[in-house]
Amino acid sequence: MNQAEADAAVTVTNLSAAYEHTEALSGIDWQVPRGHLAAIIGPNGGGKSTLLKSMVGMVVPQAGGIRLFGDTPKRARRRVAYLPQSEDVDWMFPISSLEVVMQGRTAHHRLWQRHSRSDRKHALEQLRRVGMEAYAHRPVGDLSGGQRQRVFIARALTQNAELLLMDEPGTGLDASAQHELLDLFEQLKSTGHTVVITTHDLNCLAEHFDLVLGLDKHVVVSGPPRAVLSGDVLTRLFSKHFPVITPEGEVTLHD
Amino acid sequence: MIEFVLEPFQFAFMSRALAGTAMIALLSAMIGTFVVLKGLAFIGDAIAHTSFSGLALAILVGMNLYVGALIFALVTAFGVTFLQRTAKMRSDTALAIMFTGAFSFGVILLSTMPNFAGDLSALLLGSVLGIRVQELYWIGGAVILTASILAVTWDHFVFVSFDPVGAEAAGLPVTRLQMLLLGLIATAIVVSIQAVGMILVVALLITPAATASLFTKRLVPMMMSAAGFGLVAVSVGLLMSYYLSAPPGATIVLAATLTFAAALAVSSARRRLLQFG
Repeated sequence: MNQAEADAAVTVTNLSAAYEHTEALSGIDWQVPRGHLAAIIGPNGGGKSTLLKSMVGMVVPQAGGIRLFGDTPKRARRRVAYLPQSEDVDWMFPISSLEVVMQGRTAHHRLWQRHSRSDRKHALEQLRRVGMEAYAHRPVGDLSGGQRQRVFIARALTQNAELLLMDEPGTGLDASAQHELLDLFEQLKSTGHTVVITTHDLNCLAEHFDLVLGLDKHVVVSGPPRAVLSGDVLTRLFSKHFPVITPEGEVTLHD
Repeated sequence: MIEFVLEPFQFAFMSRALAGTAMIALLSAMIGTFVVLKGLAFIGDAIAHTSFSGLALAILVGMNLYVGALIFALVTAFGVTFLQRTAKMRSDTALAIMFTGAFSFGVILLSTMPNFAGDLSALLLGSVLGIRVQELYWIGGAVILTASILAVTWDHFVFVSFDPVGAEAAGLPVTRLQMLLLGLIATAIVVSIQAVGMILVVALLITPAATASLFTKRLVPMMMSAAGFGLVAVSVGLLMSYYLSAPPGATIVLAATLTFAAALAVSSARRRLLQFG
């Protein structure tokens, strides 16, 4: 491993990958230094989730590869927490916030190991850290979207993850919950954590994120959001998906 | 009143039936809670149907009934996992085609055995009053096995049930754990068929657990109360069977259904009271 890779939280090199035969990525190069907040944007089907899933080894690359802290995704697994999209989680399942947070320890356990008293203590501390200790014994399905995200972040912290990968964490949150989540990202950054999210919300990028990656099967744009995001770039990134008004006054979608 | 309740169980066949169905109630509570929470009722029904042809085949070749049924049940359980990954149509459609086909095969097998007509209804509706001590051992073994597997793998099982994608990312063997759950469902169904028969076996898995889910949003209390509701259903059902001379499988399931209906009424009345009270 070279030094640059070991210093970075994420290094993606010439990655090509496909997921369920729909989303495809080709020739992706990207690097996220430790302690940075990074956002992946792009149209639906542009490969945002595929890239994130590749980082935890759930999608196997067809070519190229990914290094996390200079290691393979599999070997770096314990240092990385993946927070799934809300729709992938069974919110009807009867489980308390504290029990969810303790799952952060399950990743470190053998199949037959049960949670210990110190796991529980550690989990409660992390719930306090995200301001959710009052909800420890509430069913997680009863919480609001923003509160659920906090519980999942507490789970990642309980795992002692240094890199948090979050698939669409802002989806379904109201404005104040989104701002609380962004504050929490800043807090994570100040403790040396690296956060990579996928998002549809372009408004908060410049203010809160160090890096942005615009993805539409290949890299359209990459760099600090203030430097690289312009109307021109966004039009290019989302061009297929923006409604356009023709001179005749008709609204159409680009192909 | 006490006389009314205790008298039937002075007969050995009735107390054996009670022991068997009580153990089945415990087994069903452990497994049924997951079946209800993860929406696996239809898969359970499919497993019950294919187990039937496993039983038929076992009778034909003269092998142990449980082993024959379990082989077919497990093939179905794992076939489902395969179907969900590879089928070009909805997996419930593919499953329905498969299990009705297997069931018909079982019926035809049985019809080739001319002496068997009498026992067909026993397979369909259960024959717990004729349960033998050796069968009680099989059921007890399944209870102990299931409880041990759940106890050992509990944290992982809960993680995978709640958040399969997060669990896979964390490196848990998600597919293997899901197949293990289906294997446990198959086992529970096969040992319960004796008591309530193929048609009603799914009710024993579903109804007590669904009743429990009306009252609690915590997993372990849900399992405990499912066991409680199950025990009530089998005891009341056996008494009904005794006094009404009706097939015990049907009376047990009816007792479970009535318990559910009563619980539903109580829980919605309680909710209304909490809202306006």
